[in-house]
Amino acid sequence: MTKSVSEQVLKGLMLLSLDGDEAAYRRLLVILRDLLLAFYRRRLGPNADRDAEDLVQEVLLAVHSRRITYDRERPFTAWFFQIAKYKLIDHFRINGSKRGVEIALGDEIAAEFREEALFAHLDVDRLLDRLPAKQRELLRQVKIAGKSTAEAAIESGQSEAMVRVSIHRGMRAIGRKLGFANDEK
Amino acid sequence: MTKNDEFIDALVSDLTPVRHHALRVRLALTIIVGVTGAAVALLISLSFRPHLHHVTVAAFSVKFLYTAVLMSATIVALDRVARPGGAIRSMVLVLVVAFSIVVLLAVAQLTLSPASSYPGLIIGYSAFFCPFLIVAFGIPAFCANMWFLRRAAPTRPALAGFVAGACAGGVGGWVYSWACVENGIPFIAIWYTLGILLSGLVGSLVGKFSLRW
Repeated sequence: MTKSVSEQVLKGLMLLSLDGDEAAYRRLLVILRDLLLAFYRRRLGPNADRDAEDLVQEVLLAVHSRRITYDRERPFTAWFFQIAKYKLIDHFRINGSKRGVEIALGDEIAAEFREEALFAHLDVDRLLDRLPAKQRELLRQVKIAGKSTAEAAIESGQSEAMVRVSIHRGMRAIGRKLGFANDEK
Repeated sequence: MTKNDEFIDALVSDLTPVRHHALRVRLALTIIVGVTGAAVALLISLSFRPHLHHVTVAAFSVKFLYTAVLMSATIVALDRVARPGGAIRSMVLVLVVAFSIVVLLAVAQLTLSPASSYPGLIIGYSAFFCPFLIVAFGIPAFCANMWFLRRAAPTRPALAGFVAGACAGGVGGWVYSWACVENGIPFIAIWYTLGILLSGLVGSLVGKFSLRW
């Protein structure tokens, strides 16, 4: 669900950018910057903000100077993620961190990356405030504080299934407010 | 963050439209340069190599088609590795099938021929320089391919270099086949393939160090 939403938005912006739309390009770069910053900060740890910011600039520059290599028929996030990963591995290589390279090569990053794509550019609090109090609390705990749905279920006294449904509805409501409704059913 | 904003401003102000299939147009130009370069090399080399031998149609077709297939498959592979995360599994399959067919044809030709003709079919006149001439004919193509890749976004430098080299070998081999004097299909299977592989190995070494970005 989250994957298709962010992919759609980002790809749309990229296609407009390739046609020379500066406003779309600026939006795309700002979203990508926030997304990368969160991504690299998490990967590099709390003491490497400078490194993270350097990496972000390097990736943005690569996106800019290598945009000709994006195939319009293919998913944008996959293309972008490969560049981000390449630059991260390169960073670890330069710093001689073998463990870092192994971490960077892990496939689970890809999944995490997509989820972040949805959150990175949202003013999360403002959006959450418009949700019913119960839903808001659940989203906060699971999607932001990173608790499992099982933990959230115990704390709120609801069944785990109910928690899942509630979070799903909340996410959809947020999607609608952002204008990329994802209401297949 | 303000530093970052300025950075984005700079990128946005530098935005120029990218046409559909812009990368492929660039690749097409690259290949044209490579083939032209190889053709020039062939013309130069002809003045050193007297043309006295009769080439059978079968041998010519196998040479021409085999190298054309290798060249085409590696051109497609070049388009793939030029993009981030590009994989070339399906192209490797094409190459393996093409090689297998030529090996089968070679075995068939050997079984149909008298043993006394084997040296001619396998070693011929030019086994000792054919692979190197294929590499040499491919040099302009190799330079063009590297130029192409250095402006693209290959995320596996050694693999991309190998593809650039093998493609240059394919171009060199194809052009070489226009005027090659050999009649043995085993010759083609061994020495042509060797020349193209050699070119790919050199490419992979060069690529490993020069295709970082």
